Amino acid sequence: MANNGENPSPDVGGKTVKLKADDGEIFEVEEAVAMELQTVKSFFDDDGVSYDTVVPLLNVSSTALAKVIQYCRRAVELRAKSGDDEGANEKAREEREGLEAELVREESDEGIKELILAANYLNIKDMLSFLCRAVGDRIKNKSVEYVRRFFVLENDFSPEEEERTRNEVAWAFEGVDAD
Amino acid sequence: MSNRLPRDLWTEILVSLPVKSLLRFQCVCKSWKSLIYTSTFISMHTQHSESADNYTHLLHCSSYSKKPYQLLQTDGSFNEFQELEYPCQMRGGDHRFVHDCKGLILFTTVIQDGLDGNRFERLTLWNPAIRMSMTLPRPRIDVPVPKYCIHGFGFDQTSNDYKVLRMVCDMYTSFPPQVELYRLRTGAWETITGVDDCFQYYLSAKTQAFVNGASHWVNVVWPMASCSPKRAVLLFDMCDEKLRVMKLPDHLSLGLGKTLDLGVSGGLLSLMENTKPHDVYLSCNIWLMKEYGVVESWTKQFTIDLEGWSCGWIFSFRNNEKILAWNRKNEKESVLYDPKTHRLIKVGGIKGKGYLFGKNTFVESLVLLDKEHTRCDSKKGKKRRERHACA
Repeated sequence: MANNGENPSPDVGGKTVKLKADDGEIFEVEEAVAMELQTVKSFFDDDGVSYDTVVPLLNVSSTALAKVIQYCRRAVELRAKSGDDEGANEKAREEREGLEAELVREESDEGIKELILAANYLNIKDMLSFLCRAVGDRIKNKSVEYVRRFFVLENDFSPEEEERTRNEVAWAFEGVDAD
Repeated sequence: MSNRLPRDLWTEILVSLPVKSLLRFQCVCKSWKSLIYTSTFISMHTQHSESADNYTHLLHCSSYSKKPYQLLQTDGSFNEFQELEYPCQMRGGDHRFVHDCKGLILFTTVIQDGLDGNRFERLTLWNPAIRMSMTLPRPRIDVPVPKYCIHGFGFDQTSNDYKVLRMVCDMYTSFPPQVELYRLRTGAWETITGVDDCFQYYLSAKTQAFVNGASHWVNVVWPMASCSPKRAVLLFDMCDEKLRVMKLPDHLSLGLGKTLDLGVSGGLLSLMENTKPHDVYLSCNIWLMKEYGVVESWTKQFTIDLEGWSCGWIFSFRNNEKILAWNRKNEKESVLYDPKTHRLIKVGGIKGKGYLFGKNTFVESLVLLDKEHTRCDSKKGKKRRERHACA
C-alpha cells in the first residue's frame, strides 16, 4: 500500500494519528500536523475517543489527502520558525507563499477544485483561504462560459436578459482570455 | 464527472476578484448576479480591496488654460499618471471641486437658479471602476450670495454608509453654518442641528482631509481687536454626525504670513504650513498629528525651501510621502518632491496648479451597483501615460 513516502520516519517520536482516505488508504501523521485539520481535531475532542482510532475521511481522496498532509506539515514547520524577529517572520511568510504557489501551480482545474473540497471538508482555514484566492486568480480574466463550466452552473438567464447585461457593461467583456 | 464547489464558497472566491471580472460574471447565472448585487457583498469586496494594497491616488487638477480640469490616477510608485474620462453628464461642466472616498468620487457643480441669484450645487457620485454615476437629490439649503458652501464626503464605519455634508456659511460674518447631511443608505438629506454658536466659523479651505472617520477643514478667524488670526481645525464626525473644533498649538494657530492646509499622510492628519510673508511663498513645513486629538502631538516632519515653487497637497502612501509642487512662473511644470531623498522629479501631464485632491487612497469598489444610477457610454477612459524624467 503506497502512501507517497509521506509517513513520518520511525525515529521522529511523538504521537501520531492515523487518517483513512475514501479508498481505504491509511496515512500516519504527526499529531501537530493532524490537528491542523479542524475536522480531525473535533473528532478527537469528543470524550472517550482514543488517539489510536483511525479517523475515517470519507469525502477525501488519497491524492488530495496526501497533498493536504504535505502542505500542513510544511506549514507547521514554517510557523515554528517565525517568532518575534521581523526578519524571520518575513522570510517565513515568503516561504509560505512559495509553498502555496507550488501547490497550485501544476494543478488542473479539477485538481484545484478537489483540493478546495478537501480543505473545506477538513476545515483547514488558511489552506482554504489561499486556495480560494488561487481560484480567483485563475478565473478573473476568463469568459463567462469558462466560469460556468468551472463552477458547473447553468445559465438561467433568458437570451434577452443576458444580451441586455452584456451591452450595459460591454467594456467588461473586453480583453478576456480565449477559452 | 466534474467537481462542484459548494455555494458557501462562492463569496470567498468572488470577493477577491477585480471589479471588471465581477461585472462580467453577473452574467454567469441569476444566483451570482444577486450575490454580487447585495450590499453585504459590495462592502466585503470594498474592504478586501482596501486591505489588498492595490490602491491608487486620485488627483484633480485645475489650471486656467484650455482644458480646465483633469482627473488623474496614479499608483503608489507615482510613475505613471492616467487621465480618467469624466462620466457623460460631467463633461464640460464647472466641477471645480472634487472629493473622493473609498472608491467613490463626489462632484459638486454649481447651478445658478432663478433671477434672485440663488444657487445650489448638483452633486454627483461617481464610481469610475464600474463606470456608473448617481445624482443626489437636490439639497434643501440654498446658497444665495454672499453665502458659500463647503462640502464634506466620508464613510461611516459603524453604519457602513457614505455620507455627504453641506455647510452653508456666510462670507461676511462668522455665524454658525446651516448644515445638512446626505446618507447614501437613506438616499435623503437631513438637516443637522445643534451647531455650537459660541464658535466663530470661517472656512476658506475648499477641500477636506478625511481621516479617523471625520472630515477636517482649517478654520481661520480674525478675533476683534487682534492683529493675528486664530486658526483651528473644524471637523465633522461622520459616525456621530457632530461638528467639533480641534484646537491647534499656538505656533500654528497664531501669527501672520502663513497658510495652513490639511491632508492625510499614512493614516494620520497632516498639515502643510506655507509661510508667505508679503504674499511670497518662502518655505513649507509639513506637520503630522501623531496622536489624533492630542494638540501637543503635532510634530514637524520636514521643511521644504521653496524658490519659485508653490506646493500642492501631500501625497501619502504609507511611509512614502511625496509633495507635488508646481512652478509659479510656468504653470505647466510640475514636480514631485521626495522628502526622503530630496529629489525633485519632473512630472509630465499635470497641467499646473490649482486644487489638487489626492489625500486619500483610492480603491476599486462596486459601490453604487445596487443603486439606481446612470451607466455611462462605454467609451474607454482616455489614457495618457506620463513618465518621470529625472530632474
